[in-house]
Amino acid sequence: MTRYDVIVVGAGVAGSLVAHRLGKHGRRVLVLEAGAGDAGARDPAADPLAAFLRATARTPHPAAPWPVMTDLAGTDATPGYRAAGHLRQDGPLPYASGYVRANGGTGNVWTGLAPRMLPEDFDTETFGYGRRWPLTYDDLEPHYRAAEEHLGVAADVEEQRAHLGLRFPEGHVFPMRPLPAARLDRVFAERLDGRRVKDPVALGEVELKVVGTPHARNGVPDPRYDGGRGYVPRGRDGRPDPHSRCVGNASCIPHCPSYAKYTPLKTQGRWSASVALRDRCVVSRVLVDGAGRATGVEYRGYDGAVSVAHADVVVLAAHAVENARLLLLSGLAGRSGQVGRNLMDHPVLLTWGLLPEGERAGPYRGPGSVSGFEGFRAGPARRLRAPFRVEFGTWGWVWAKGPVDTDVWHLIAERGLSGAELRRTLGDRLQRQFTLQFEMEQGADPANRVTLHPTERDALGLPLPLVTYDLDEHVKEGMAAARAVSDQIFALLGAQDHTDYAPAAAWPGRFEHRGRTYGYRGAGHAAGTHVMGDSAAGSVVDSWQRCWDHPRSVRGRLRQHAVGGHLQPDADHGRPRAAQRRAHRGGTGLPRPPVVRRRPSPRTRRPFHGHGSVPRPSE
Amino acid sequence: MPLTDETDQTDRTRRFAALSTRLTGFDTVDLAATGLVEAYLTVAAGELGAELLGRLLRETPDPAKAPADGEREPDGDADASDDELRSASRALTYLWYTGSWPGRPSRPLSPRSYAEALVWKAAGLTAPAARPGGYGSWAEGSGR
Repeated sequence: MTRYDVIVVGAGVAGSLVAHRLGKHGRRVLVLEAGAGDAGARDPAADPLAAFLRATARTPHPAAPWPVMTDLAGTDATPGYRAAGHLRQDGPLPYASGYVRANGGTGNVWTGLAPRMLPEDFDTETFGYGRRWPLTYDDLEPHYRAAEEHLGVAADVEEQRAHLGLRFPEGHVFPMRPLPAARLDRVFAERLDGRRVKDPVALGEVELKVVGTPHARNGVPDPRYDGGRGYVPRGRDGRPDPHSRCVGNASCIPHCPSYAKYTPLKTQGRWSASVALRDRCVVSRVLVDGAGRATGVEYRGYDGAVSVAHADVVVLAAHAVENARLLLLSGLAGRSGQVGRNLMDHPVLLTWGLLPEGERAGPYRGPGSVSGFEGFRAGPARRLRAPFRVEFGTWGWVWAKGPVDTDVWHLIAERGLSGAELRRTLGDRLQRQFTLQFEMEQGADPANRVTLHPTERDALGLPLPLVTYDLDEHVKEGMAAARAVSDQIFALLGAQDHTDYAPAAAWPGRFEHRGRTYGYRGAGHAAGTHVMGDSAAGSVVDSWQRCWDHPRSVRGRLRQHAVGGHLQPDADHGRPRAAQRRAHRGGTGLPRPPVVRRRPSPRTRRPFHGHGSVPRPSE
Repeated sequence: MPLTDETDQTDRTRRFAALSTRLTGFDTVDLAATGLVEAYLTVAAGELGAELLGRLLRETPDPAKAPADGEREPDGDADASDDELRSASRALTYLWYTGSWPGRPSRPLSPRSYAEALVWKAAGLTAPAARPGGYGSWAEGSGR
């Protein structure tokens, strides 16, 4: 069959959810995925460890390449980086995040944190930067709830109310009780709760308070959920599994062997029979008729063979970079001049060190981060610097320095240790390691953009994406404030600071600001490139994600925002994922279904956490 | 298999285990429990060659006297031979601690090598995805 009601481009979080919702209403949906269908984690015969090791080793296919951390290397020249892979770059600073072209997309390798955005995030113009959303927190709130049910979120509603100022309906609880705090969180709470730190940029003080982060991973169901009907966790392939729990594999990136972490593969497991997935299909063009209405897509197999499929509606859900690339390849949605612009991420300032002698951080025993500090996200300080979340990194120094092998080599080769002394020193060092991850909000800036590379082509002959990216003063000031906060936290803890943005090769994202050197990674929270707004003149899509220029046809995926705010309901600062879940708003041109309630990232690499050099995944 | 060969083999394995114990700080019982002694002996023979491995089994340089990188003394022939042994010792130590032979890209030799890497045991931990501790285990401080 080549005729469908809807074609969805991309089988990641947004695409899988849109297809799920449409399939439930009996629509015939074709989902075209550029990557391989088997993400290496679905072989029923595979034992968990083998599946993890296979996921760790997964690499892009030449016909559907994606940026991996080795594509980006720091240099001593200007600019201080080199981008040699699928994602070419020519900006002053590197866009430091990757993404995955495989079934399930980047959502396979996310950390699994699902915080909401704050009400004030939807209008940062009030603070003098970014762009106002054509939506408010209250518009989105029911959809947050629907998304939290679908993903299966564990969190404490009272804590979210009290420490983030989030509004919830009376009596609402999350599907699952909050996850137990990590040992590191308890050490921090004991030493830091109630202490005040100075923000030298905003000239204010912030009281520290350890707050649990909402997690899209299974915990203990809350019997009060849904008016006392409770909640049944979902395990492998989204099947109901009352006993599914996070068991502390500490390998969420790249793979959760216990299937406690949400991935799009869980949504796909719930698809109706009217939804079909076709993998290894790289969409190269969206087809439109004379009136500008989408009629289908042209796509290519890995052998280069060209096919066409037709549909009434085309949904683009191929990630911020690839969506923009596809619109540009198709010559569509060009009226506002905004396609490809306003590319955003959460640039992350990392600081890392060792707890005092005799203290244990308890690393590598659970999720990569369980809790954080939320006190730097809101308020008038945003006028002067980017707001940020502080995540407590519980996997040692992996994001900053690479896997533990680097510690082993350092002690053996550089310090000449062996035998009992090596064993003791290494054990002590590992147990005391922790990382602070300051995830910066980045406002919409039209200069940060995706274009088509003028000369370079991929294996199928399509122009490679070219990114031009920079961090503005607002973000750099946010990092300056974050580093000052970090210095005070280390002092309060009596911890040894090992932060050092060297060697240059390991820190492609590096800059000087007011005499101090900063290094950043990318959180993998790509956003922007088809900005949402109130009018066709200044935006690509409306608040329902409908493309202004191609009414009721091409839609951007639900992860685009007219942001200025942390456009991330899902990640660290709230990552984009929850916004994607606005699939529940039915950005499909179809009658909007009512939101029916109650049915329903060792060798730990975090490539999409932008681990540039790490010998990596995005949230 | 003739008895003498077997005896030789056993003796070689025993000497390899003793060498590994000196290098890693884990006793022979701990190392035997990984089930990897024979496998790593084979890897070491393949990577180092029979001659260098033989020398290593006979005369491991005293690790306490090993200069760290950057603290080298002037080179001589004896030093060169020492350097060769020292570098072989370091590679073997790294193999035990990480499950991979040094050099990029670093890949564990097998799922077992990954799971039994001594770096985790040194810290009282288990390798990620190898033997999870159960719901809430991350709240505790040390390994099981």
